[in-house]
Amino acid sequence: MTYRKLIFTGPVGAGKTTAIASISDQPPVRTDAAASDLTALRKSATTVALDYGVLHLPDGGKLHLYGTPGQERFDFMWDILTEGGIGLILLIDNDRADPLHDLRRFLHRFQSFIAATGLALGVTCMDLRAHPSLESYHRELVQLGFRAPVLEVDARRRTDVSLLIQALLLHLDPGLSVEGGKV
Amino acid sequence: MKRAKIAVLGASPRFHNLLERFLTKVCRVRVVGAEQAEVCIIDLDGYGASGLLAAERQRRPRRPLILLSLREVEAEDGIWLKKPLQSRELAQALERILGRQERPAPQRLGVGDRPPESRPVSRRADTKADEVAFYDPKDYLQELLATAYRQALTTEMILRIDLGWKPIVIYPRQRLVWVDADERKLRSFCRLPLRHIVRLTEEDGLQTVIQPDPEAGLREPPPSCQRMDALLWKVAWWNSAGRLPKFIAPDRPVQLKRWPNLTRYWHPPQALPIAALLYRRPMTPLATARVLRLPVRDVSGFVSAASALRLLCFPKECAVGPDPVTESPAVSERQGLFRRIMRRLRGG
Ligand SMILES: Nc1nc2c(ncn2[C@@H]2O[C@H](COP(=O)(O)OP(=O)(O)O)[C@@H](O)[C@H]2O)c(=O)[nH]1
Ligand SMILES: [Mg+2]
Repeated sequence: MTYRKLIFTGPVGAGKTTAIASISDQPPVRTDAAASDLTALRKSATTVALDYGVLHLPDGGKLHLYGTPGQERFDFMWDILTEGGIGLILLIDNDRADPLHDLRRFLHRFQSFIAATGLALGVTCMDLRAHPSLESYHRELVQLGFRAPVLEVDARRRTDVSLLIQALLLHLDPGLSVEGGKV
Repeated sequence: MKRAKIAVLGASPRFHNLLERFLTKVCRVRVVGAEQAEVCIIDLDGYGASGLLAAERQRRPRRPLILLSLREVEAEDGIWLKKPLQSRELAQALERILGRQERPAPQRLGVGDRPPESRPVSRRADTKADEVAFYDPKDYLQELLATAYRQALTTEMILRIDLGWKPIVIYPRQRLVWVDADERKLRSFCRLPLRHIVRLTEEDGLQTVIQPDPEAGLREPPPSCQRMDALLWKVAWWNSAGRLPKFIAPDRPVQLKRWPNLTRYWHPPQALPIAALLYRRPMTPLATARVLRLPVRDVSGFVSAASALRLLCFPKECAVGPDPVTESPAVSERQGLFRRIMRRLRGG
């Protein structure tokens, strides 16, 4: 049985809560960091609301989906939260004032987690603003020494969120799809 | 080649601007003042234009002229073009005057010639290599679309592709295209080389079916428009019909500069692993098919579409990444987990 977690991060309003709700098998809860693998958090004096969802896997196991709390005063938690995570889904809201700056900030913050696992970047709200382009995001990533799938995502669409997660997994392991033909 | 120098006289500032854009960007000539020009284009409907023509005749009687007007005029040694001006006619008139070589007309298939799709090559003993077929994107809608995109984007004009099929209208400012056909019709249209569908005269070439669309400029793009990149991606995939563009060798490595925007592009499920693999490291189309255990034709479709969007590079320009498929207990354990997640996400 599998109990692993996938981390969603990004600035406030980027679509973390919505994305987790789109993909989760059970109605997402705003947990007070009470999930079993977050005991370290429970010990801390602060309780912080986290987005939490779950994906039930074919072997009976679960993939936990966590969204990082928005306010940066809680960013001490991010390291605890990411421990044991399989990878990072970074959502950037294209309609914010300086989305490339947001990108740099989050890449910097999660640098070591990304290095240890991997990253997929979803750019949301491109229906509201088309620029910067996906190409600009990718250029920025490469300049900072990262390589990752970059996709346009509407957090409200399950298929978009699902594809972004699949892109992350395949990016981490391109050999993944070689299994009994069906991919 | 040195660019020819052209002067535009008598045109209103707005029309002058439009002509200048077209001449420099599409006809690739320089627009200069009357003194230096080798050819003069005179708008006879402009204010004081008849005086301009008379003066021009007197001062430089041998300089070739292109005259534009709503009503017919006698052009003697020049060429008269009726307004509203067709970009194709202007381009052809210039070509004629400058005595340039016509673009070689697209090669024609005679009756009984084998269509390109039935031209397999065998480069290696590998059975996969025998499966590889090639096509020339120039024979298909994708090339025409790409050309029209370039023209529309550089001139910032709304262009219309008129093939005698369904009209295709390109709105460069919004990066949108309108095709008056549903997916099924478009897909079957994509199966055939254009010359099987469209009657083209020798001197025309394919360029001539691209025209500014003055009417469309007055309207907003219809709501059923598609994104330019998404349309070109799927048209190229469908044009390829499982074949590789003829300029991509199946045994030479290619690499993705970045992931195609697959949340917005038509694709079969195997596009994801192909994208993942070709983004991580350079790999030949043949090896990609082998590693992913896919038919070469799936890889060819992907490679054609990616190439049409200029998302491919060839390994000398690419950093070579580590081999992504490594074997270790930790890796295979992780693979098990990832596979279960994938199966779950794909609804299996
Ligand atoms: N127009 C548009 N709205 C989006 C998109 N993605 C998410 N949203 C909306 O953005 C808002 C903020 O999303 P939320 O999930 O609360 O962001 P969070 O702060 O990261 O958790 C919600 O109303 C979403 O429905 C998108 O691609 N386009
Ligand atoms: Mg939220």
